[in-house]
Parts: sequence; C-alpha cells; structure tokens
Amino acid sequence: MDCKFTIVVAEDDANDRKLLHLALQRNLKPVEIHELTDGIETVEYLKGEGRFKDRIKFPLPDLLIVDLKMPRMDGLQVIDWVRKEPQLARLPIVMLSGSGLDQDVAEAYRLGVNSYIRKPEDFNDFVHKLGVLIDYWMMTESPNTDRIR
Amino acid sequence: MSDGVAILLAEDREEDIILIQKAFEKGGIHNPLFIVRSGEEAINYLSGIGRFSNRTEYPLPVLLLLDLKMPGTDGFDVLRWIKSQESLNSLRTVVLTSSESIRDVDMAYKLGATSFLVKPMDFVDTVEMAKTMTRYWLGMNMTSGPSSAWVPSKIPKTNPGNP
Repeated sequence: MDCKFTIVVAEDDANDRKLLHLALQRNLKPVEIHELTDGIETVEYLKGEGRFKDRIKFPLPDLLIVDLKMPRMDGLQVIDWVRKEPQLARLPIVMLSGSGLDQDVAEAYRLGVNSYIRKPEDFNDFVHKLGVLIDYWMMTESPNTDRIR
Repeated sequence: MSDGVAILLAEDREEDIILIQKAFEKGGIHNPLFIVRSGEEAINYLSGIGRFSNRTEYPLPVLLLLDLKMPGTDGFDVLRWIKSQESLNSLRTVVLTSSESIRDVDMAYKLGATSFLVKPMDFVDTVEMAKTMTRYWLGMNMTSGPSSAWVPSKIPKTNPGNP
C-alpha cells in the first residue's frame, strides 16, 4: 500500500506555482503533491467534493500549504474553515507568503496556523527552504485524519 | 556562548535532558536552552511567576519542547493552559515524547500543539532531529510580536534550573 507523505498546496499565482513545482522537483523528496489554485478549490478538495471525490486519487493531506493572498477565499479564511471542521481541525497547516507583515503573521497564528514561512525571493533559497520544510514535517507524527486506504 | 532566541525544554527525565543538551551541542545549536522539570514549572516559567519574573534571566521562549508524560501537571495540562493564554498565541509548541500512541498525537494537536515528534532511540538521530527542528522553527518560521532575542547579562556555566 502506497502511503506517501501527501501535501496539498494552495497558490493562486501561476508563476509561483511553477516555482514551487520546480523547487519540489529539485528536492527529490518522496512526497505526493496536489496543487490547487485558490481557497474555494482547497475547501472542495478537503471536503472531497466534485472532481476530488476519489480519495485514492485525491487523498487527504498530511500537510496543507496555503498562500495568504488568493482570490475568492484567501489563506486566512481557509485556515479558519479548516480549524472549524471536526475531521480536519488538527491538520497541520503552513502559510507560505510573500508578506512578512507582523499583523498577517499574528492573525494567522490567532486562527490556528501551525507555521508561517516567508517566501524567499531567491530561487535557490526557496528550494533549500522547501527541502527543510518537507524534511521537518515528514519527521513529525501526523494526526489521524480519515483516510481511505 | 549562547545567543539568539530562547528555547524552553519541559522534561522530567534527567537522561533525556542530557541527551537533548548534547544533541544541541553536537548539532551546533547555540540558542539558550532553558529547562524546567515539570508541567507546573513550565507554566510558572511562561507566566513569569517567582524567579521567572526576571525576563532578562528567563526570557520568553519562541519554541517550547514539551514532554507529555510528566508527574503532576503533565504535558497535556500545559498545552491546555497555553491555549487559554492569548498572549502566547505565537509560541510554537513541539511535543517531544516517547509516546507513539495515535491517541496522544491526536489529543496533543487537539489541545493546540504545533507539532509532535517522537524521541529517537539513538544519539545520531537525536542530533539530526535537533538540527532539522531548529533550522525550521528558529531559522525559517516567522514569529509575531517584538523580537525575543536574548542578550545575556552573564554567561551561565550550567543551565538555570539545574540544582
């Protein structure tokens, strides 16, 4: 049974998504990544709605990475929603944002984000930091979310 | 010489304290590591009660490493208490425990733990874990509020709290 470490990434900017994809590929970590383009799609994925119904193809993640600024539903709203869902409330969430404003960080922590990382501007730094991020979260024990195996 | 933001370790077993101290040393981690030996002492430290009211000597940590199984006030009680303190919203709490029980993992997250690590069996793995953990939480993760970098008034030879 293949139980790869699964990460769902919510990032609306196509360029940033491409960079993230390249950085994750460079790292060669044994992870399964699902990329989504905004907060609404993220909620649909986590609820298993629409095209995300198939939990074999779209498993619940071990880690959720969200951008702060996204259309329709932003990263803070996603965190707030997840923390109120009984089955998902304990899902580890990392906010990965270009904003380093203290008020954004404080609000994310208030809403229950586990970690807040500022996106580095340098690509090599980004690759390195993503590597550390994946190494760290793969080392941790994930809470029990309902997984269809 | 210690420098940088403070880490608080709440652990009652002396051998585990020594292991973590040695792992930090071997891993080249020089942040001041403050040690409390019970859940009650952890709460007192974070509250600034008694000797811990001196924030120059005992700064608020950015990262709390928390054992679950401690006599009296245990790790779960500490997590419950931290969750009730709005001023500690940005404190990152990493449970570091021998327990692999999924019930403990779930309960710890439910009570607000930031993440959960199982103590490795050997020293080499403990060093690697310490390096990755501090690289992540102290090197990358953003904190909120004023910087809590510690400027020592004196350089202790042993950690405060040691008899």
